Order: sequence, then C-alpha cells, then structure tokens
Amino acid sequence: MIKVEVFASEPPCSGGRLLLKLIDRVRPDYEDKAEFIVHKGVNDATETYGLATTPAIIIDGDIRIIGVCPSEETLRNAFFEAGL
Amino acid sequence: MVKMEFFTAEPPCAGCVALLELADRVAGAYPEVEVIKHVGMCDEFREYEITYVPAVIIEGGKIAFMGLCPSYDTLVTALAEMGVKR
Repeated sequence: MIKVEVFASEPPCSGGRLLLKLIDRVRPDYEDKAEFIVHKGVNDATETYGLATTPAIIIDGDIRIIGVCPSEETLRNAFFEAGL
Repeated sequence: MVKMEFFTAEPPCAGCVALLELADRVAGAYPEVEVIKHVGMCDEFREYEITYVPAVIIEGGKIAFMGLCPSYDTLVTALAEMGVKR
C-alpha cells in the first residue's frame, strides 16, 4: 500500500477544506492501492516534512504538492506519477 | 512581482516537456509574473530541496509541485492564492 498523507490547517483554510472534499471524491478509485491519512493542524508529521504552508500532499514520503488545492486532474497526475 | 520557477530534467521527460510549454503559457498570460525556467541540475534545485522534476516553485516555496506537471488550472489557482487574479 502506498501512503498518501493529506495536510490541512486547523482551523481550516478554504484550500484545505477544498482538498479534503477532493480527496473524499477520488479516494474510492485508489483505496485498493493507497492508504489515506489526513493530518489536521501542526503535528509531528508536519515537522518531519518541514511543511511551512498547507494544504499539502505527501505520497510515499515524497512531497508532491504544497500550498494550494490542486485541480482533480493535477491530483490524479500526482497519484499516477507515484505509481498509483 | 510573483516569482514562478519551473524545473525540468535534461534530457527532459514527457512531463518536463509539458511543463516547459506550461511555463510559456503562463508567461504569455501573466506578464506580471516572473517566469524562470531551470533546465537540468542547478543551485536552486538544491536550495529548494526539490526531490523530483518536473517541479514548480512559487515565491521560494510557499506553493510547490514536485514530481508532476500540474494542470494550467491548478497554476491559475496557485497564482490567485498569491494574489495574482484574473
């Protein structure tokens, strides 16, 4: 299983809120190959990846998108490039 | 002026070629955005701790894409987040 980590702020910003909705929409298409983890607010994972801005998406430990909610096309492209 | 830096490999992969075309499209549509293309390894690649190309770094990393070519719509959204709106 490939780990997909989604980072959103707490309290939520509009970009983070949109990203969580987008993840909910695409998640069923990847659930057999990916484990989705949602992080809200600052935590150890935020520190580990050195994230200064959110929303962010880390796939298999690699930073893929920081600071903006991508389009669905961009998100699916990120998954594809990570082997999903 | 918002700075948008595009990083690609040399020789390029298909995603890098698409990203360079995207850079030209942004430069044409947004004259107020400083578009910089970095082809191949460079100091900025290490400075921003980029893991994979194609990559886009906006304003030093406030917004970043690594290892994928984002859609044009996503870049428009990213610029709007930085205050550059149409």
